[in-house]
Amino acid sequence: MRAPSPADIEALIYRRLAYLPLDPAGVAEFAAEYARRYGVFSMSVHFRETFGGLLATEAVLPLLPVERSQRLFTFERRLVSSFLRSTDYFRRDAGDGRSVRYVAFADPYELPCNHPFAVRS
Amino acid sequence: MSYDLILAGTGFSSSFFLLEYLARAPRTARVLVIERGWRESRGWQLQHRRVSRIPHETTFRSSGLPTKEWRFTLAFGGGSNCWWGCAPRMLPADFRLRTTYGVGDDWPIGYDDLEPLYAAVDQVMAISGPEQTPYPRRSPPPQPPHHLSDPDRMLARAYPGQYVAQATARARVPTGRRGVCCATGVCGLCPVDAKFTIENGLAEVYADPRVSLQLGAEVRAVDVAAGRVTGVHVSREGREERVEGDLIALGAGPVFNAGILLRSGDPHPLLGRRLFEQMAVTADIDLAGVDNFQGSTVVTGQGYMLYDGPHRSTHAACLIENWNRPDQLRWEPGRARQLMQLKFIFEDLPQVKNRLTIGTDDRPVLEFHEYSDYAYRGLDALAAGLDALLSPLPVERAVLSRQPLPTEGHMLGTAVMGTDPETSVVDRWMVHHRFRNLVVLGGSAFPTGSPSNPTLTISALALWSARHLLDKGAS
Repeated sequence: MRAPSPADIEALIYRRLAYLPLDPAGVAEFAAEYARRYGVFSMSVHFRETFGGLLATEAVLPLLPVERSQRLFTFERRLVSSFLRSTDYFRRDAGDGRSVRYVAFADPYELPCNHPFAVRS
Repeated sequence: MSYDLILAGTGFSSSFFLLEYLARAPRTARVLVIERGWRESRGWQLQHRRVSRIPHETTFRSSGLPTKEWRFTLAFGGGSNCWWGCAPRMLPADFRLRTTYGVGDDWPIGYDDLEPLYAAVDQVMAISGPEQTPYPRRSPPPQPPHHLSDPDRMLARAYPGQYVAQATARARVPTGRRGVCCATGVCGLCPVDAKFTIENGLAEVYADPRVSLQLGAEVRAVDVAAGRVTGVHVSREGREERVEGDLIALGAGPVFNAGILLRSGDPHPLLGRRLFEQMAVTADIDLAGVDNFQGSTVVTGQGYMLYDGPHRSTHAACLIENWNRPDQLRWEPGRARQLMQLKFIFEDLPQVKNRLTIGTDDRPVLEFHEYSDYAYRGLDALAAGLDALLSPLPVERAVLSRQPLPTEGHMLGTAVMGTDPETSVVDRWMVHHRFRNLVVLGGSAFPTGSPSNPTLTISALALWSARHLLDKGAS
């Protein structure tokens, strides 16, 4: 599988989130950071991060009997999720028309306790 | 110098065994603990995003099923470094699989034997969980349960008594010793130290003046003379030395417990065999109009709807986990949170063909051919009944993966427990049938696995073993 380039990552975000007012500089910054962190085999890295690293590595990925389209679908959802969680999207009021702002890459070790929906009281 | 107790490993089984031992041993007791790994600081772990400087995969080889992986930690605290804090008990029927359902084996002990020890472990770990559970309990957990998500609550209403908040060692409220879980979802190395570990919850046993702790040292074999174990061979800093002891306890995990005994020449035909762990698959489910992810920890709900019952005579029990981890959000407007991710964990039956041996390079070789047909029939039953199971939820799309996850991180077997020395390596007290001053702790003793995470049971068994040995010694 061809590794996504920053341009590919940006294109995917714009395609899936076309209804949102996105800040082009923020999207570009996220895409560059995502590509820098994960590089080649981005998809298998995403899989490695799920369930604490207990899913497929790049060597195992081809052996999974999941349809290619399903793998791509999952990959896209994970990338879009990573983007949204790196922005202020979930902290905005409904109807806020300002551009969705990139805040910081949603790395759990650089930004712990960043689950946008958990009720912790 | 000779020791009253030599203990290999510092994980759950070793630490709880030592806790009970020190509570009952005389003040003059001499204890030597030998840990192959190092005591990594949290700063080092977080900086390197690893729990140990020793890559565990370099310490063994695998053969058989190419997709099968194994996970453990070589460091002070053992598996407490990498576990996710999921801490349910086993169910009573798990201990009586053969008698009740005609499959697998019975344990030589029952749930009632372990119940008080489960309660003791609950206190040490400050378990968060519900008071009402599918397994009987005489006392409530020390911490209240974590918040459930909205889909959790729908399932709990639809399956009363069968869908509950998960019992967990991820703190719900402050303990004074570690952080509170904030559902970051990388529990293998928690950035806020919210899960119980040996380091944050039991380190004091290793500071006891009776205990000497050697790090970076490996127990390689035990010495035997006149039907007793007289000591251990230790490798440290390139040197081999022999240490004498009266009571030897192996808590190095199923891989290295069996490895030590195999190197020692233990001829038991079942030693190293019956290597197994649970089999798990996942399902991604899109929901219509119901937002998810309001839970306060990474795994919120636990479903027992497919666990115990007559079906276990033909196919595996299954435990369901709801993962409160928003990493596959939907991109449709206003529907980001309308999905859920479930994990289905099946018990597997141990098979003699799956085994551990010592390779020519002296590393353990984990030979795992396949999960049992019993487990796969459980998966087939799940696939056939998934729509009905999820019917209380407004499901738009449900995709069940049929490919098992590479590992659950719950290695079991290799030194099975039983009453008959011909068909088991250790007895009901985890004492070696043949060498009566040798204890083999941990998951290596499990005759069956159950779908439940084994850590609480491993810890309770360690207390059970130590309590018996010290009471027996006193009497």
